[in-house]
Order: sequence, then C-alpha cells, then structure tokens
Amino acid sequence: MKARTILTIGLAGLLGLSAQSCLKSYVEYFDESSSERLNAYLEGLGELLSGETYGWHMSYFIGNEDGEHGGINIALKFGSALDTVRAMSEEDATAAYTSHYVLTTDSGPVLSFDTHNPILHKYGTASSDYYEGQGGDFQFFIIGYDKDSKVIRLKGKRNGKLCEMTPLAEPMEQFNAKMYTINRNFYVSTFEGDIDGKKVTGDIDVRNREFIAYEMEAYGTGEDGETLYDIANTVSVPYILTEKGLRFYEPLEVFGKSLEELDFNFDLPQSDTTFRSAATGVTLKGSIPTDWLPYEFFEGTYSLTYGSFGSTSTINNIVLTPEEKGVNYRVKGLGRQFDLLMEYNIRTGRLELRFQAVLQPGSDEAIVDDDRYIVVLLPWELGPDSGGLWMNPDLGMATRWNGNRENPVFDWVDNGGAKRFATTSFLLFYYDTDETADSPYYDTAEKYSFAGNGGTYQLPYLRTFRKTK
Amino acid sequence: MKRFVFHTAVILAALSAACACVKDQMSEKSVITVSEKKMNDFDKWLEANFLLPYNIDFKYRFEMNESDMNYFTIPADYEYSIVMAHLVKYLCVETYDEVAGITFTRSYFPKMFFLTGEWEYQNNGTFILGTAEGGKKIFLAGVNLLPQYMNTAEDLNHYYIKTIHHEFTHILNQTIDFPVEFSSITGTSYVADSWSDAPFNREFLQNGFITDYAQHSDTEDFAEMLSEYVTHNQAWWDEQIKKAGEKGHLINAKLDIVRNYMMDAFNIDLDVLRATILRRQEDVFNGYVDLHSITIK
Repeated sequence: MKARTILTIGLAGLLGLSAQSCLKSYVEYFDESSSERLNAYLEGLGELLSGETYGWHMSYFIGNEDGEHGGINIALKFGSALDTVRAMSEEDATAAYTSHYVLTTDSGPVLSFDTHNPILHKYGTASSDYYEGQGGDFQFFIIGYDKDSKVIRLKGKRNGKLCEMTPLAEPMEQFNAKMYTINRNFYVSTFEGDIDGKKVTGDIDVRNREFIAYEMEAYGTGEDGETLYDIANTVSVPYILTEKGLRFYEPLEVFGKSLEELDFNFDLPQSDTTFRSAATGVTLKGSIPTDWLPYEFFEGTYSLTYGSFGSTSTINNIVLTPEEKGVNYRVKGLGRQFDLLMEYNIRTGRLELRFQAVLQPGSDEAIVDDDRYIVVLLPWELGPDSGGLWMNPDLGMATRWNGNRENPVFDWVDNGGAKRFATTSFLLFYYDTDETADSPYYDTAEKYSFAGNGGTYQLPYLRTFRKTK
Repeated sequence: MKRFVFHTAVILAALSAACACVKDQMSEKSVITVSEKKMNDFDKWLEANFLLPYNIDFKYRFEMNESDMNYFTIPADYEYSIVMAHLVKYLCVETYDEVAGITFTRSYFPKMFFLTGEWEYQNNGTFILGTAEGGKKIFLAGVNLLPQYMNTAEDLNHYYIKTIHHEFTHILNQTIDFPVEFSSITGTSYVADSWSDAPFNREFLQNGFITDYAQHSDTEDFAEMLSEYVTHNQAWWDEQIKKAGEKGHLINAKLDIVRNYMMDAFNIDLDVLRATILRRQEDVFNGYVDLHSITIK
C-alpha cells in the first residue's frame, strides 16, 4: 500500500512536470536566430570597414589605473580578402604597419586586431616597467554604429576606454601627416579665462594629453588692490587633438559649463592663441611655458658645472651644432673620447640629455668594446644616501632657462621621463648586448671619461649650463 | 477498489502527458551558426603540416579566451609566427616522430599551440616564457622577440625550444607520473617562488639544481632536467656538474631517474633524443631549413 502511494505521488509529480512542458507558447520576434543576426551584423560591418575608400580615423583613448594617456589619432585601412589592416599613428609621420584583424563574437560583436602591429599594440605591451601595459586595448566591443554619421563606437575589452571610428575623407598618409604635425607642434602648457565672471586657470599635460582646469575662488585683496585667488576645485579630463583643436574624453565640467570640444588655431603662434568652445561661448587664453625657447636658440658654446656644492667642477668649450634640424644637437667636448646628442623638446622648449649610446667622434656609430659592450650614458638618480640606475631612453635631464637672452644660463633639472625616477647625474656604463647575460648592466666604463680637469666616468649632480658664445 | 481506480487513472494520465510533446518537430536548422573562416596561405600551411597529420591546432592569432587574464599579453607577429611554426615542427614535432614514432607524437604531443607576442610579465620583475595546460595545450610567449633571440642555439633554446620540451615534459608527467624517488633527492631544497631571489638565483648548481627555476618544485625540477639535458651537449652538461661541485652527484642521480623514466614509460632513449635534437638544431643554424616558406609540399 505504501509503495503504491509513493508511486502514485511520483507519477502525479511527473504529470505536473510534463503538463508544464507543453504550456510554453512563444512568439518569434525575429525571422533568424540571434547568432544568424549577429553574423549578419558582423558581415555587414566587415563590408563597411573594408568598403571605405580612404579607410578610417580611430580616436584611440588609452589609460588604466596607473595613469591616463589621453587619445591618439590612428588612421586605419581595412582590407577584405585576407582580413588585413594597415595602421598609422600621429606619433610618427610616415611609419605604417600591416597586420590582421577579425570581427568576432564574445558576448557581442568584437573587433580584434589579432596579429601584432607596432602601432595598435604599443600601449598594450607589458614590460618589466609596466607589467600591465599602459592601458592600450586591441580588442574592442562594438557598442554602436550610427548609419547616418557612420560613427562606430567601441569599448576596449581589457581597459574599458571608449573609442570611436569615423571614415577618412582623405588618404590615410595625408591625414596622418597632418595629425602628426599638429601633435608634434602643440605645446600650449597653461590657460586662463573666466566663465560667467568666475576665474578659471589650468595646465595642459601634453605628454599625457590631459586638460586640468582649476576653478578659482577669490579670498581677499592684495597690497596693490588686486584680487587674490585660491584653487577651489580641480577637474581634469583626457583629451585628443583634432584638426580644429581638441576634444575631451568626457565633458569637462567647469563652473556649470559643460565643455566637450575646444577650437584652437594651430596656424597662429601658440603664445597668442585662444581655446574656444563653440557650443558654450567659453574662451580660454592659452600660454606657452615661460622658459620656452626655439630650437635655433641653443646653437653655440657652453660651459657646464657639476658636483656637490662643496666641490663643483666645470667643463668648458662644449659645442652644440645642429644634427637633425628641429630635433637634436650634436654635443662635442662634454665627453673626452666621444660625442653625445641632446634632444630638443618642442613642447617644453628645452634641450634634454637622455640615456643614449655614446658616439664615436663625428660619427653616427656607437662605441663598442670587445664586439659586445656598448658604452652608454646612463641616468643616475643620485641622492645623499643612495643611488639608482635605469636604462630607459625616456630618462634624463633638461635645461631650464633663467629667462635672460643676453646671458643665458640653464639649470639642469630632471626631464620628468618617469614618475618614480628623478635623474640628477650620469654615469658611463657598459651595456652588454649579449642577451644571454644575466643583466644588461655589465660594468662601469671607467676607460672613458667626461672632459675637464679630473674628469672621470661619473658626472654627478649636474648644476648649470651657461652659453658663452 | 476506488483507490485502485484512482491510482490507475493517475498512471494513465501521467503517461499520456509525458507523450504529449512527442509530436513536436525538431528544426533541422541549428540556432547557432558559425561564420566561415577565411584561410590565408599560412593557415593552409598549418592545416597541412599540423592539423591534418597530428590534429594540432596551431593558433597564432590572438584569442582572449586562450590567454591568461592574469597577465597583459599582446598578439604574435604574423611573420615571426611562421618562423616559430617551422621551429616547432622541425625541432620538436618531427624530432619525436624520428625518435619515438609518429604514433607517439600523435598520442602525446599537445593538441594546441597558442602564441603571443610578449612575455607574461609578473609584478616581481620575472616573466613567464610558456606554460602547459591539462596535457593538451602549450602556450608560447615572446614570439615578437624571436629575431633577437634566434642568433644562437643557446638563446633559441633558452627562450623558446627548451620551453617546449619543458612543457611537453609536464604533459608526459601528467600522463604517467614520475617516480617519487626523484622528489626526495633534493626534496628539502625547493624554494617555490623565491627561486629568482638571491642567493637562489646564483647558487642553484651548488644546491643540486640544473637551473635556478628548477628550485621551484619537484615537477619543475624534472622538466628542467629533461629539457636542459636534451638541448645541450655532453661538454656543457659536464661543465655544469663540475660547477656544482660536491652536489653534482645529486643532479646526475636525478638525471638517471629522468633517463629511466623516459625509457620505461615511453621507450625513449634520452641520449638518442638529445642527439637528434642537437643534429636538427645544427640543421637550422646551417640554413638547411627554410623557416619562412609556407608552400605546401
């Protein structure tokens, strides 16, 4: 009896479940399955990408928890037959690289640049210095496409930055050359203006493409009757350069105004230009660094002082002659057996002495010992109690002008090449080119020396750089 | 009687309900469609040289799902991937064909290779050259650095080829475990992640390990022993044993176990394997192997 009851209850349950299984009624809202529709969407998108005559302009925003790097203009030309893509970046006037792409599905449509391209993967590449890369994505969710404006909106899969692509109206080489020039020559560093009678000032970090605005607040009156201000609020937003000026990653909210784009006349001298927001009517007066100098100013003969204040040494008759015009100078007389290069940074209007392989006098060839050891100028973070060395081409020291055109003297300051390393000094070191070596830091190159009385392979605490003629 | 009728009715109703859906027709068309992949010349070459003969999927195009999301990796370069495919084929796959027979290769060699462009950097300054997963997949990093690391056999082995033999050893170990005696020879000297720190990164030989990484654990030690042995000649090996001093006999004791394991478990003579690898390596550096061709023969 008991078993029969259990059987009955079980069957009743089965009846309930079975009856339920047939109660479903659903309406097909689409004639095709979701995967068919997604594939059709991707096929259409593929035709669109490869169908544009001149290709596409990508506003490529970069950044992660380690820092923002703003947006870079990239020109892309998609092929169709073998899924190839050619890329150029505003960071280089002429370099172009071809790799592959695929339109695929991963919780939605995805554009993936899936073989290596030095331009498209530059900021996603990890290293011992940036083990998470620098926030550059190379796989993107396609989050929207506007048929009228042909704007394709993308979101990076790893770092999540929003990017977009629009069709190019001119050949990619032409567009890239134009954006390269704009990018290279943009060096406005500060701005100020007023919004509805309220004072706003700010800085432009051109290296990381970040616009930093300070909402100022009056707090009193100075001795001469001038109004004194303090920073009440700081807002910063990454930007990307455009042909007309710059566009923010997200609206810059200042004193109740929402600024999305600022127009800027790149043809005018940058010390005499104004940022204009067409939508809001806001204008901001731009300024260049107060110690900015043109490339040509630096040609001449110098004397350099270095050392701790108790024992300062001098190297005289250091001659700077143009190497690549507008780019760098050859430095003779700083090294006893070698030449160096100093780079001109147009954005700061300063010369920079950076990590480099020292050159044979009058030659472009590096000095190499034993067919293996390159002699390098190594940035040295020398402090009272400790020191650090770093083989990094971005690191070095820059000249800071005293503002005197008749008797120009420059202080040596860290060039800001890295957040966690401040160069104060240099060493001559052997770089071991043998990749099987435990470390590229082989040994101090004591066989070589800097010029001047008592010059050695060390150049501690660079102080001043005085132009003598 | 009433109860019997009731039970019978319930049974009949349940059976009829269970059959109620039988008339529904299954659609012949799948709701999931896969877009057709376009194959370039390299894809066709890979199909002819890896997929069809060995059922090996050689993935050179980046797929996020195949990568380790704990690291920030980038895609491999197309041209360097072609070179790497040739190196894997000539120095690894066909080596095992020659030494152990194609059936061995088909049975045990990993069914997937996945290439990426850079090393997998960790936040302690070290980086990963490759990994093996589940006995089926070998992940090879740093393909974009291949041109600078293939000038010498030492470099090529250190960064890539030894890595494949190392990872393949893991796969063999995952198939047939190695004897426990191996683990006891230097069992108290494994240091896990400290292998790259001083003094372990300098004194590994003197501690009875063939490389610094071998100090990580017994499984890594075993894979390092085998992969270092088969990619170096006897003179190099003798030199390491000499440097190891009084602990040199520990390394050789472990080598004996590795040698016996390969013979007993897979009928592979370790010295024949080494001679074959070194001969093929010579072929590569003598230019006898076209590393760039994607012509299907």
